[in-house]
Amino acid sequence: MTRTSVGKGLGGSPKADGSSKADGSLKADGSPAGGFRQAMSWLHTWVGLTLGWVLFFIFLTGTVGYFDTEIDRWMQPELPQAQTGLNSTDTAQVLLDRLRVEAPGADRWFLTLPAGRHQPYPGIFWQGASTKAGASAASGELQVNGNTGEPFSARDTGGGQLLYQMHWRLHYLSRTQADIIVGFATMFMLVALITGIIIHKKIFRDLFTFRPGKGQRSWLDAHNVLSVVALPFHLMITYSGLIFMGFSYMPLIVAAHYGVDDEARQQFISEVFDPPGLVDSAREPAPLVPLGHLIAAAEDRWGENRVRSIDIRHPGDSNARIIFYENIERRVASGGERLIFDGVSGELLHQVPPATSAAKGARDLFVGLHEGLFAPPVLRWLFFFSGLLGSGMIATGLVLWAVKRRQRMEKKHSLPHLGLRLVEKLNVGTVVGLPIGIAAYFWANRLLPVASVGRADWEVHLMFLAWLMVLIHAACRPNHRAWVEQLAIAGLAFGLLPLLNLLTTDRGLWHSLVANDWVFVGFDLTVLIVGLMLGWTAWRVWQKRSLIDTGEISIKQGRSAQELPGGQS
Amino acid sequence: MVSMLSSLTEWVLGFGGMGSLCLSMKSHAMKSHARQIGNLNYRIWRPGQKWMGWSLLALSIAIVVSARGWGPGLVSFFGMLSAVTLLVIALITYRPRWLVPASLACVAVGPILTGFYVLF
Amino acid sequence: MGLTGRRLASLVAAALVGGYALATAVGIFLGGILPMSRGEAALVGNLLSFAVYAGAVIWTFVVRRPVKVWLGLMIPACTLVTGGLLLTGRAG
Repeated sequence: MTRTSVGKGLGGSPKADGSSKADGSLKADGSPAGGFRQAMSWLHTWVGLTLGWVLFFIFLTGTVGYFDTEIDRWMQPELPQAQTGLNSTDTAQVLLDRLRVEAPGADRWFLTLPAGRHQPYPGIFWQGASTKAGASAASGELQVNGNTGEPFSARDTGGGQLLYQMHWRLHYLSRTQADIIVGFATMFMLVALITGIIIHKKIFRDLFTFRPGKGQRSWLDAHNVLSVVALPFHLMITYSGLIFMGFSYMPLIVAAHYGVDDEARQQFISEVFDPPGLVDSAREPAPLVPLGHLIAAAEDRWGENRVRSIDIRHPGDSNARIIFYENIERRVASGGERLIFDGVSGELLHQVPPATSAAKGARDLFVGLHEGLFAPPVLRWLFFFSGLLGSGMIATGLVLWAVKRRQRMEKKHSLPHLGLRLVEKLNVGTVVGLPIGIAAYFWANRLLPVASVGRADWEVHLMFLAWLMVLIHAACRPNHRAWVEQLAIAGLAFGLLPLLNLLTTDRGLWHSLVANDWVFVGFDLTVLIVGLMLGWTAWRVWQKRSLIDTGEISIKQGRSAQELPGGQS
Repeated sequence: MVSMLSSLTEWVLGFGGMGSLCLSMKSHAMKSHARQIGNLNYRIWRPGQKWMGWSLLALSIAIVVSARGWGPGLVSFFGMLSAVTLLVIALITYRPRWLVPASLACVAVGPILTGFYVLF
Repeated sequence: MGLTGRRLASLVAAALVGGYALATAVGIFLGGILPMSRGEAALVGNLLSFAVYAGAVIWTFVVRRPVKVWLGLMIPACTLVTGGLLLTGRAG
């Protein structure tokens, strides 16, 4: 393919080509000087490009996921403001009553208390209920109004959860397919980061260097800046992503020591992760202990309203166990302390520290860092912002690949080859197309009739249909026009969302401001700012054709290089 | 919980630190018209700015870790560092003359805020 | 010695498949020898295997010689798996 021909073109002079950090060339057989770095440069280019668009999707949807529950709430405008102030004991009783109605005979009852931003409303969840005894379903999940005890009724939507789940589930694919694709993409990302560090000779010296208006040079600067500025985040999020899904990606390690069947796997999970003291059902009925004094004991230990959830195993059985989970906002590592009570006598059986072993502690730390559930508002914004930098790093890398080859091609007065044209189309259709798709998801949430059947599914279908349309548009339009037009569409799609929200709900921006409803205010203002920035970018790109197409013109048009003394070493 | 003062101190010190480190480099210093640095002056300027930069960053870590603990503190520090570094880059690229006063202001205010934080 | 299509394909396969094999093998080995409970040791092996995988991919493209790369990945992989499983067998 083109790889070898590019390699031949530059193979003769490895040292003279010192400036080409991310060059797609591989010298045939490494000479000692420069061979290593060139090999790393080649690897960086190709692991970055091959799954680059998948990585962009993973990064951007994951970044949006840092505001998953906020988006959930915007997408269900029928729900009231968060119920986080409610008294734990009363709320638990309300939830327990609801579970007795919805899920009699269940094997497991789970009560979610409104403990903070990640759990704004009380909720229940059950498994193994008996429909014969009157359960509404064998297993299910409901958000419950803590004041009335009735389930909330709100429009059917995938919400922010679905948007965030996409970044590792890829929505339409099976779990196995998604695991394979996301696993390799993440591994490629890790290799791209390590090789990127190796080939970037002067990481600290170049850290502050950005030279705009110089075509390819500027794209390389931008790529370097976005990568290095948030390098700790990029490394953390990539490695923790691998660890998060580690048992799926590397199943044979556990299988070698436990066996390959599901039971063996369950054995491993319970050895490492389950709290001690859990037992099987005795199949002897016994009344469940009232939760009141157990909650009091837990709050004595953890502080008021710091019980996150209550997990009842085998309710109504003589072997019932009740697990209390501590809220998670105080530590980076995921998971807090757990208390395990006997579900009949109410006796405290075990106090389980957050990390039962150093190994689990290390995994919890990575998982906690990845999810950022502990993060208070400012830190949450920094996570979001770092995620955007990561998405920008991938996007600039992809554009750089294309800009570099187009420039080289124009020097030779040859026509762009198929690969280059494909990359250019995919770049615009993904880097701008995916945001347009996400905006379409929000538009669909407000415009699809609330009562229509399968509306939650159609929200997502419309997201991907919009993205598909954008990709087709990119394929049909000249490169530069495609960027301008799509950026303008994206700007409008995000910028007009607050207006759409005002027209279709009674929770417009002014109303939210007056009501101190910061989730709605935050959503409206964020999409407005995103829209304005996209629109501004569209205008800039429209003015300066050279930004996208080739570096040659802009170097002539740009200011003279002497203005930056030290720029070239 | 985490006081506004500790966060403000963390950010001011972080910006002062990264600004000083940026200005310790000759090309950036000249671009920002920090002064007409001759080779001799630069020999003093460069280590001075470097020491200043690293000390402020170290102080910033100390503040945020004492306010939030090691885990959340370090996470917060690196997030802050990304943001202020991008700000320094934006300034040195598009408003190079503003970087010297902005950085010096933070260098001056940072230790005062640190004093307040330690006292209260 | 140009990097022809077949040689490139062999290297890519070595990086992806051979690297995966070595990473899994190191994980299994650590799961067998680390002085902690079986579950924890397997977990540590799992956590570290990804670093091994990344290292193996990079090493493959530093060496760039298919035969050497394949042997260099698969021989240690087989040895480590055998060693790890033997040790587990003894312990169990």
